[in-house]
Amino acid sequence: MTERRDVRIEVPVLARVEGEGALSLEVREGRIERLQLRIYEPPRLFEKLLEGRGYEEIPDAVARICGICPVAYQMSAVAALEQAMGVAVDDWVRRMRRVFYCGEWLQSHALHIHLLAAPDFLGYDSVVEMAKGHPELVRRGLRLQALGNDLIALFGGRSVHPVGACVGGFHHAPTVAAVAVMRARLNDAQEDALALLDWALALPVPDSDQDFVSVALRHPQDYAMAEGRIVSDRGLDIGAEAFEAHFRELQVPHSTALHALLHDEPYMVGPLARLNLNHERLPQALRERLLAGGLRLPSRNPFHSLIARAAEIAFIVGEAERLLADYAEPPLPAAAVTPRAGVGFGATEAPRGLLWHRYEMNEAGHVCRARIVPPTSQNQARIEADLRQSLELLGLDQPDEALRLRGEQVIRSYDPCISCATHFLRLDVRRE
Amino acid sequence: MTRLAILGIGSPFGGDRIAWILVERLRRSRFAPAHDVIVETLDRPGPALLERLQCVERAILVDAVAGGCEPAAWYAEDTFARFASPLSGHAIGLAETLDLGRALGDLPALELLGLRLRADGTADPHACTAGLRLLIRRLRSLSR
Repeated sequence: MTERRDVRIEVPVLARVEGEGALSLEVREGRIERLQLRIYEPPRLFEKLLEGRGYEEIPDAVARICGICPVAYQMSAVAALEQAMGVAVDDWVRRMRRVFYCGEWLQSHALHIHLLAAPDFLGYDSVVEMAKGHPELVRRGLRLQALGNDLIALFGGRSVHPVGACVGGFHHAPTVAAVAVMRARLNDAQEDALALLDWALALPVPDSDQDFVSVALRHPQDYAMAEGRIVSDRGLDIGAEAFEAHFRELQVPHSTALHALLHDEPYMVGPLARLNLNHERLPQALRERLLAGGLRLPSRNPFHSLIARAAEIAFIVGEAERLLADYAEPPLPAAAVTPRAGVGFGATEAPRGLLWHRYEMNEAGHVCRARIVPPTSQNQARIEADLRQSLELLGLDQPDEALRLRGEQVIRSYDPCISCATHFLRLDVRRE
Repeated sequence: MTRLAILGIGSPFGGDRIAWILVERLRRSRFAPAHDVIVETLDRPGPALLERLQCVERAILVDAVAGGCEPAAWYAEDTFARFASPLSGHAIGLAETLDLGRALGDLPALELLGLRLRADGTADPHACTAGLRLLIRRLRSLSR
């Protein structure tokens, strides 16, 4: 018996992955012989576009790579550029960058949970339909997302492609009054965040027990966001400068999106990988809440990514408020920059996972060469491996609609940019 | 509760900034609205628009549209989706956001003013002028 499933994915205009994709599935005698997630991403040539540009332009330029996680691109870029040019930032900048990043995680995670993932698990076609049955759930999600947007805007001037970040720090420091208002809002949001986590812990998700490699940053004390070493649960422990010695990007014939492998194996980046590797860095009360809710870490179920996002939201709201306590405007919101030649590496945790940048600079502070490895491409090979295991576990004899829905759930749980389309898999099944 | 919000939405760049231009012209005009009226521009708000519409009795949304018969026109909600700006991130543009707000029962009274872009996607000053005329006429009507 042969089954062939062609899938069409309609993707809205979005950075890094856009256009059409397809899932090809070939089954013979009850086993998957071929499974390919194909993504047609028009080359955007961003790395080439950055060549010749001065260091001052880079944070705003790379923010345009993604409309959902511009802060991540800015933070990885400034980390790499500061290393290349020997810029040392002070503690105020480090802490406020973490707050800035909290805003992005909050808006991105809230958007994904409520508008993209939850309808899958509650049996709705879209968030619009889900809103009729679960209005308070959606309203809570929108409140949290709006808070994240406003937190980004506090430091970035605006939430879409923010312009506040620069090499050395920020162009402008928020006022004490504006921070006080934000702190009050963060405090008020604690209840929403914890209620969301409890809801996520109780959400019925498919069972899955997969043997995958988790990769994320790890920091000596903090739950890693903008600083730390790149680690895996298989013993990897490297600085960002060693990334290319262990990770390999490759072109595969069926996708214009690059795949990435760690020591020639697929791996997972993103919230679940972060939680698996860093859960002991969370506050004790949050760890106890996860345990009481039945989540055992590290988890081998990729569908727990939704819980991981909710856990990170609960963490973020408290962390941002903590970091803004005793806020004072600094004498200067950014360290001075003296251009010089050098090579720098930056790795931070975008909402979707590890985002790695490398820049070669000349004496004038212009980019000679740039390389950017985003989380969406790093997860491609893992998504294919997950699809294979999840569909086999579901049963390849299941109706086409059930296979299609499970495929969508798997792909969306990684929150790649292709998950922007609400229903992007169309299966054309031929049975013999 | 705010009586009226006039919100220019979309990107501040390219042709999409036409709504921003109109709002700025309204602010500079002698018809600048009263203290209980919000006049704002929102940069590609997506679903965050719904948060902004909380505690508002009536909202006039101004946005660029692709196509349409007139340089500037009032649109019904159901036809606006055909002409509204391209989808924003995660396939949630203005039309989808309004659908969501409607499903939640959280929308105020809504009026949609569309400003037609040129065929090449650039802003048309005539559309902006015509839109401002329509908007001021409507504000006069609402103030009576």
